[in-house]
Amino acid sequence: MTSVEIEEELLRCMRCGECQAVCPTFSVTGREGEVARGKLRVIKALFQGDLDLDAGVAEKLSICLLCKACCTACPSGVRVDKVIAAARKDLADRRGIPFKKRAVLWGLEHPRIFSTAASGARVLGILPRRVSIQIPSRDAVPPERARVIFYAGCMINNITPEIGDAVETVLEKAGYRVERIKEACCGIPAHYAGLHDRAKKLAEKNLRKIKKNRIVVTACPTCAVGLKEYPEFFRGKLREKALDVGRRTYDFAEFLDASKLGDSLGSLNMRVAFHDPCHALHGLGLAKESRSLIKAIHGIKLVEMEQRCCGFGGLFSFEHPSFSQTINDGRVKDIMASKADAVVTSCPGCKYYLQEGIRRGRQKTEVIHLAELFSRGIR
Amino acid sequence: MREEVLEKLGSIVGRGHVLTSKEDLICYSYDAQLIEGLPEAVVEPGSSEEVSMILKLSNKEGFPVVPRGAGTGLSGGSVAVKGGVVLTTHRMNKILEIDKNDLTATVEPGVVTRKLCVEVEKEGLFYPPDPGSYRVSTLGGNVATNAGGPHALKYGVTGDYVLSLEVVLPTGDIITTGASTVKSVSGYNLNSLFIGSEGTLGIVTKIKLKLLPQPEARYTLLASFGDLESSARAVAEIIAAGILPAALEFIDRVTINAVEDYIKAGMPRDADAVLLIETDGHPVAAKEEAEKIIKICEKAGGSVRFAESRVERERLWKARRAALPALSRIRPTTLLEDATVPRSRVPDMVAEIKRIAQKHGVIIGIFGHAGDGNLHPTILLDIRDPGEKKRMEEAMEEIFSAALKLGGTLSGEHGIGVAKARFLEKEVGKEGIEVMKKIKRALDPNNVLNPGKIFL
Repeated sequence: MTSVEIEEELLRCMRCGECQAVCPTFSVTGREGEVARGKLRVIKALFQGDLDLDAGVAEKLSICLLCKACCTACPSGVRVDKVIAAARKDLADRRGIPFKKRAVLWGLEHPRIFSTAASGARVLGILPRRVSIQIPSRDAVPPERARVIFYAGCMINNITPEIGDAVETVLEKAGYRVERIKEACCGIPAHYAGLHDRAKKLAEKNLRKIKKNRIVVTACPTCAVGLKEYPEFFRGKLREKALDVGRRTYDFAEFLDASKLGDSLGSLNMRVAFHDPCHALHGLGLAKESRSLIKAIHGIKLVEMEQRCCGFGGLFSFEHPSFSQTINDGRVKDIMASKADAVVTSCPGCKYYLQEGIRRGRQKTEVIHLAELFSRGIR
Repeated sequence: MREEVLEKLGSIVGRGHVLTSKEDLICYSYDAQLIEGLPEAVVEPGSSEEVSMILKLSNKEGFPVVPRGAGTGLSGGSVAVKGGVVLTTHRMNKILEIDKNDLTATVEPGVVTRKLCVEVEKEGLFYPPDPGSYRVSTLGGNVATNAGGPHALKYGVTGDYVLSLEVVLPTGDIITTGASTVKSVSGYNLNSLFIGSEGTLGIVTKIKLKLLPQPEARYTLLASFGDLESSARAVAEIIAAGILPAALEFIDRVTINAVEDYIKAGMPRDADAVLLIETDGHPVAAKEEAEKIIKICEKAGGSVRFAESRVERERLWKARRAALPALSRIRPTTLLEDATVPRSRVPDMVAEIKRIAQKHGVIIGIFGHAGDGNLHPTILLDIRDPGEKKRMEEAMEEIFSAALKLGGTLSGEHGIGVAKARFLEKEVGKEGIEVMKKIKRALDPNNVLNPGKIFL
């Protein structure tokens, strides 16, 4: 985003304050500095030279999950997410980023080490254990099938691999030939931390790996948003490729057509609540899709909860654990009040963090990804 | 502000609840208007007692105190134009009681309006005042500005629901006004003194509100008219027929086209005016009223879309709610005003605003509450262009004069604050302002509470 574009966005904020109604961090403190309107005003002050980019300002700008809820709620359509990412880039260029963030990002860019660390953490009980799911025999799939790339992303590859297994099972059953690529991190964590160039490098790696005309399916809305934002990084041919990949990238919830599963889709007798991942709702505009899929499974009773963030926000949860957990506690309360047997979501980050919250609250409600729900529903 | 004063503030509310960093102060330097002012500190009290102690300190040390709810005001009323501290109410945000027998709710000032609406609805009750910002505005702020909304025509404004208030006076004394009863004539009506006083006479720390039973049914329709006069005729005839709709909203051609560009709500682009009308109450009565309204609108030359389902009803309301967002996307700066005229003069006012827009070469979209004459002429401009800014100011001034000439008022629901202070004398006269100043001096001898507001 150029400085002229940022200025235009800042000017378009009419300061109505509607972002207060949806902002997860504002819900914790009720302070203006925590909500989009306040942050935009601070960024404007930086722009005008009324404010120095000191540690206090850096802290202020870091208290945002980039969940994009304010972008949806904003009557004037201010792209708060882009402005904050741009401000963080400026911040990272000038001041660098905190050690905690740097460490996690380094891990994401070195998947083998990250994966080993994650397994270690799993063994120690810090992360949930990997649940193994039987993958159906490959012969059982019809020969003429569309090929799709399943882009799993760091969360699924390292923390919640059971979701990846389920996605492959369900897509195969729906008649697709699922391919994997040697993927790099989608780049969102680096991008949203202000490390524009690192994000760009990751984007380029992924774009080169994705063959032309292939459909890409993700089961992590943040990754889908990440892939769809690639055109921002490039010009010329690579931008064309990025636009093309963006157009062909689908979230699992919008890609799966339940009717393709035909008779193999059985019934599940469950009362489930659906948790909308912020990036599905505000980044991809998906809400109905997941619900229709859930309702396509016989026997399921779907209950609605008020929309609220799970509090994870990727690196945010490392940098601001207390904020993150307070938001998470609120969400866990909603889940308990729904009296659902399980909470279904369509994001590995939400799944992981809701599980954490439920465990912390000594509750037992199960959290499953939409793909896992379907893989269970398949006879 | 002196370090020792900040320390004293910290000992009242807790150190963590006094904000002094420049970036924090910047976040409390504005409301939803264009006026700004940097406070010297922000304090976040958690109780009436703390509010009282802050005011006592401010009298002793001589610093201004500016109360602030959600900062969604449209008059600069909560902006610290004379420095001092901004006092936020967000920590006092509890709904203390919803009484189903007495049909009352007791709340702290920081409760968000929508939160109360949702909670009372769960009990089958209804809190009607619905200012445009009700999803985020606070009830304390609503009382301070006597906020209204689309429901005002039938149900009245915030002040009509206030039974009793706990108020911290500028000197720090705490009083309770009104009573918990529907009727009370014990002494002066002090509720009305504080309602709409824009935080200049006291800080409301507890509010007892009247509630209504939830209406059983709602019917919504959208009528579009080829010319303004027919829509005005329809409004006049609806009221003359003895019908008081729950909402009677107006959208002009500029706004219709902005909304259509934005969300394609299905309104005819060549219509000069669209009315969104809602009736509520007993299902039979509300339906009968809606049918009568349809006939009146059609007779006046309008074409009517009746919402058959909840979904369709939502769709019609979406068109009305999109008015401001849609307009705000046309130009970088949006200035929303609320000059109000007697409802019979709405067509004259609309014609005047159009004339003024043309004269000054500015875009003005008009929408608002036709039923109660409260229009929202919205000027669209780029504030960075000094010429345009000047034309906007001239146009605004003429709009205010036009409203007064038509027997109206400067502000229907936003308040005077800083934005309209220099025009107030035109409406209430020198003597009127003198009375207000006498009241202010009597309650706030040191002029510590929200100075620089309402009158110059």
